[in-house]
Amino acid sequence: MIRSLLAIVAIAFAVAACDQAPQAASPAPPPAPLPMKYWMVFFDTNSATLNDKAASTVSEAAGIAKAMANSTVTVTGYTDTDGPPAYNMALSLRRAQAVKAALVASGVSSAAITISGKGEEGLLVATPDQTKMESNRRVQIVVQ
Amino acid sequence: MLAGLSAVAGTAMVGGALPAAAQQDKPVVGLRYQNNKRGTIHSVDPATRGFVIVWQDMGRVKLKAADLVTNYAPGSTTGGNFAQPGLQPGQIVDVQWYDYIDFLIARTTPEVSAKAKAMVASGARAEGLPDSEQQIRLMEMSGMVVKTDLTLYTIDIVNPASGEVLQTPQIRTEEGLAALRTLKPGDPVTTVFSIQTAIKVTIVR
Repeated sequence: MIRSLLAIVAIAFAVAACDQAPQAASPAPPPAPLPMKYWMVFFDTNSATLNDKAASTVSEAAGIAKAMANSTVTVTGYTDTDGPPAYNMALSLRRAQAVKAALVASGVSSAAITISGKGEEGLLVATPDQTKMESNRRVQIVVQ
Repeated sequence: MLAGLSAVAGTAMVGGALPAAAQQDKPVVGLRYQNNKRGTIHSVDPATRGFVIVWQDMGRVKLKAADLVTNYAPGSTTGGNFAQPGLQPGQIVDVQWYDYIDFLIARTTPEVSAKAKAMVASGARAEGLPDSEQQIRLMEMSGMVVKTDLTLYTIDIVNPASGEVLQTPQIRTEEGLAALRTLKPGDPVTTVFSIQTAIKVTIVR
């Protein structure tokens, strides 16, 4: 009698288990972030000319950009706070253009490169106005 | 955990050891930083005793196999002289390993630079494993701070030689985190981290 009852209970549990909704599949993992590398090149005061070290850095970035399939390159120029803001905006763009030209000369497709100039915005090191600061006179190259 | 470590340490003594005094001078990777995890071997680089493993939850991680990983190379033998298959891509393995750990985070000075180079030259040793011949390697990342991240506990550093900006591994020690909070963009910084190192790999299948 007891065995029969136990068997019925066991069957009932088994049937109940079958009625449960299947567990939702675990969510798919988020897509891996795009590989990204970035560099900085620095400039002399009031200059948009790449020195040897900057040219070497741009060459390295170009090599990575060419090696990555369908890569895009974002080039952003900056200045320090020395000089008028409007002039610095134009100077930062000239710096970005100089880097783009060097990238293209190294074999990166012009169409893959986006440039912009930020002027005195986005100072790496916060300074008062009219302050010469090499670390702020820069171009950032992002390859992804 | 401790029993497992004792066994590993016992294995290491067989392979010879550095003098005890030299061992004591080395930075020590604390036991609390040890991880145990199961993953699948993606690739093996015998030239560097490196291997890439895919964790189910963390993706790919590149590890170095310390000399404590006695089954790294194919054909290595066990205590019973049974040839082992060595680590191969596709194997599912249980790994005891250390993640990156910061040993030095400081504004760059001549003294700090010298200290960093000495640390890298000496390497570190794992706590409780004083006789491991192949130490846990240390690496230096130095340059100018571009960004500090007080959420991820990392620093973006521009390499003065190459211009490349690299992000440090996550800073984990209290001393490192205290130093991180004092840094700001533009500061010269010197950092030393241990590299990710496996000390035991058990082949599951």
